[in-house]
Amino acid sequence: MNKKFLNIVTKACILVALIYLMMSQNKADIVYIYANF
Amino acid sequence: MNAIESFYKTKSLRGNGIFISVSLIALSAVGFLIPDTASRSKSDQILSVSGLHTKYNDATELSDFIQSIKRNNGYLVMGTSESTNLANGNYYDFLNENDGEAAKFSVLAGAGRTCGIHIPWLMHHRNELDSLKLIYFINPVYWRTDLSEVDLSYWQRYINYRMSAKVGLKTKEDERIARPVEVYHDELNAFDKAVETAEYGIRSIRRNYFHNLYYLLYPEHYEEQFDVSSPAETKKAKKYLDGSDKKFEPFDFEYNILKSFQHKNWFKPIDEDADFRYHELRSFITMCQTYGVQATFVLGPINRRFIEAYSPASLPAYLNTTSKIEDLLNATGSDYVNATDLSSAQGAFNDHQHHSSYGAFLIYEKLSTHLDE
Repeated sequence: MNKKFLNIVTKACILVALIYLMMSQNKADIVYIYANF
Repeated sequence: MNAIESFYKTKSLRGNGIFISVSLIALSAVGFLIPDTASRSKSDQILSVSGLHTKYNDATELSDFIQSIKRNNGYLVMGTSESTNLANGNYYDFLNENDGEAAKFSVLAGAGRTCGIHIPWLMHHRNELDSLKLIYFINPVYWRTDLSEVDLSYWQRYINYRMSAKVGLKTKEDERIARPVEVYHDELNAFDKAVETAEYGIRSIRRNYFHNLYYLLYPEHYEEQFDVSSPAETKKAKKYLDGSDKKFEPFDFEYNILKSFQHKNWFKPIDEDADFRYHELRSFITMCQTYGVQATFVLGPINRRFIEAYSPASLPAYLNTTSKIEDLLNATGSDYVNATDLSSAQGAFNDHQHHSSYGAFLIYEKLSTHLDE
């Protein structure tokens, strides 16, 4: 019973994490504009 | 404890791996069902948008950007490194601070962001370009030896290959307009193209979530990404204009540069044999004329005093190139402001090729007069 419950919780967490990552507005890949060459 | 131990068996981890893979495929498919509901409720002019939007042609944001400029009777200013932020304001900051100038000036500028780099995203929006007022700053230094051809580091920074390859070329005119972009495509090898195509595909799938779903859940955040209020430089430009904040840095009068600029050897002569930059400019002008963009070009100054002091033998080629650019603008019937008479103006430059805030102020005076005519 515990194992089954843990399995469901894990999968739910994975799903939430995946959606969160898909929704993330990642600033790290913004095109940086340099003032100099 | 036993439950955790039994749970973290290879079999369970394998099951989770499969679950992640299946979920990713399912989420990717479901994402296409999420509608794009993002829209602006405000009507003020957007002063700039993230380079990511132009790199990937984020249609909603770019349409809002173009429409906001047109609706407010404003201008879109484009330029290269000389048109990026200056501590005491650049020419567009002065224009924005000029009380007599009702229009606002939005900016898309960056090092190496020449006119050809804008062609793909503008062509995606060609049906919205009619009557868009645009100012493009031509810096003749882009005709120098190391910048006279397509520089992949710049083009890849601003353009995603897949986005530019998706521009539908419907007429002979469109093909002519896209020719400089084709040169860029030819420079890319198969691996680069594959990577950029994958990048574009993955981002398109993700956009259903980070754009469609995100703004469906938080519509109020859509406005926040746009820059609608004047940046700090514009406020400094106001102080510069009214004379309340003029700070002078130590200046090298012989070379007409700031004394703090220590890289005179960065200067490069002009490559008179290369003609890519002329083709690029001509294509951009053709695009503006074909799709009703009301373009005004600024033929920027060169730091003539620097060249005369550092490499006098390079001066004739610089002058010749500047003159040929002007010939091209005349031959195409383009509207332009000639700012090359500022080339010898004392204090107008920070370094060998970038104008200073004072230089920007002189350019602003010319531009402001021209726009008022």
